[in-house]
Amino acid sequence: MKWKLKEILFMAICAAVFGVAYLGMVYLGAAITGLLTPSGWGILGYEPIYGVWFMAASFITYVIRKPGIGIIAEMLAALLEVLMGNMFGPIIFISGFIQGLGCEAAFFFTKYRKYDQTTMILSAVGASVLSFIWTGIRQSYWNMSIGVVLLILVIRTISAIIFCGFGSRFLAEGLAKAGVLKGYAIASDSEDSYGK
Amino acid sequence: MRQINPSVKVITILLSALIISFSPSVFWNAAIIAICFVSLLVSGCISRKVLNVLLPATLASLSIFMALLLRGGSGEEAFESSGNFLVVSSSASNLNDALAVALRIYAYAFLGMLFSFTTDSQAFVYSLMQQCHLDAKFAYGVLAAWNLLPMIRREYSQIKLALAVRGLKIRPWSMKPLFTALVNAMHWAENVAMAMESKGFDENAERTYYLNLSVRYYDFLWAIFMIAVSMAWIWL
Repeated sequence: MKWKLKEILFMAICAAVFGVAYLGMVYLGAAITGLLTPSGWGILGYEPIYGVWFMAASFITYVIRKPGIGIIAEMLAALLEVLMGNMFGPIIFISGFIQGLGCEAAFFFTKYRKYDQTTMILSAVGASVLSFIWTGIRQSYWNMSIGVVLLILVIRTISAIIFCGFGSRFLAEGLAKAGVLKGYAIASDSEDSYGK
Repeated sequence: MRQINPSVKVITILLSALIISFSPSVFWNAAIIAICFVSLLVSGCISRKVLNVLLPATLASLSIFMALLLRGGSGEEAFESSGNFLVVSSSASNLNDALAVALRIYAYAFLGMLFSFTTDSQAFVYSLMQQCHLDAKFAYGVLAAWNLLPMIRREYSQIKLALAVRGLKIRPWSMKPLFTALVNAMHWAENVAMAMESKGFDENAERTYYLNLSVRYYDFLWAIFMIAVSMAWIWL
């Protein structure tokens, strides 16, 4: 698979923009965590915004539409975050890879032909489930009561569906309509619907 | 620490973090933290920046500690019988698990700091190209985005200001400023790509670097030491 320089820059810069834009959400998550911690529910604090971490990957996948793009986009985002001095350091390469794999799965199983609402939602669910397994290992979910663990999974999946399934698609479609995505796969795939 | 090859460093720390993800040992997690702390101290990297990392890490660590203590699986039956006394309900094994996982979060944070505080971003990307054979396109793409970050930040706050001037309310989850920022990102991506190509950037050409990095014997010694400590909980 040949990558254009423009596409790579697009991926990296988008990842940076998402990172900057959602810093506010991270503070929000931290605030919820802080409030809930004394009751033992603090672990749920970041879950409502969890979908934000997959957004860059699902947005980029939807725009560029090439096999492997979800994983590469997430890895680039992880590299960028390591450069920015992310709290968890190099281990987020693994998180990035797993999340990218999750985003990618739905498109892989539809043979990279379908880029519609359903596939986007499935992709969001994939990212949520895989990342859930990974955080489960890191935070030893097996030591928690099953109800709490299920609650984490459900909230995270809903968040992923809202932010990635609908949010990313909404952003990408909006940008395509605004005509700034000419030259990317999304524009040529939907040429009929936008005239031209 | 600054002398260690960045690629070796990133792989070692990645492996260490991965190994301790499975560790139930309070002691060895604490040992990792201590080693990282001493390394940072020796490298002269203990400053206010450490607090900036430790604050969110403490929050994350505490939240997981409390969750495991109060919402732990095995403490459930005891919880019902002991009524209001939450602490009584948490068995000793719960406490140990909770402490191990809470310390693990700190260990991640310290391993992360050990990397980011002692590694120059530029050198790291160069090392990825030279030791890990990362494609030049990706390496320079990421470096471009990294160097654009301050501009992206400024741009983003300007966009929010522009929306506010027009009387639009912006909430943290609002997509409007993100949309505008992405339009700019498209243009940047195109412009930077054009600029790089017009400067003669060719990903297939043999490259020369102004920074040449290599792997030396002490890189391996350090890597083996770190991984040995991370794995110690398996045997000891």
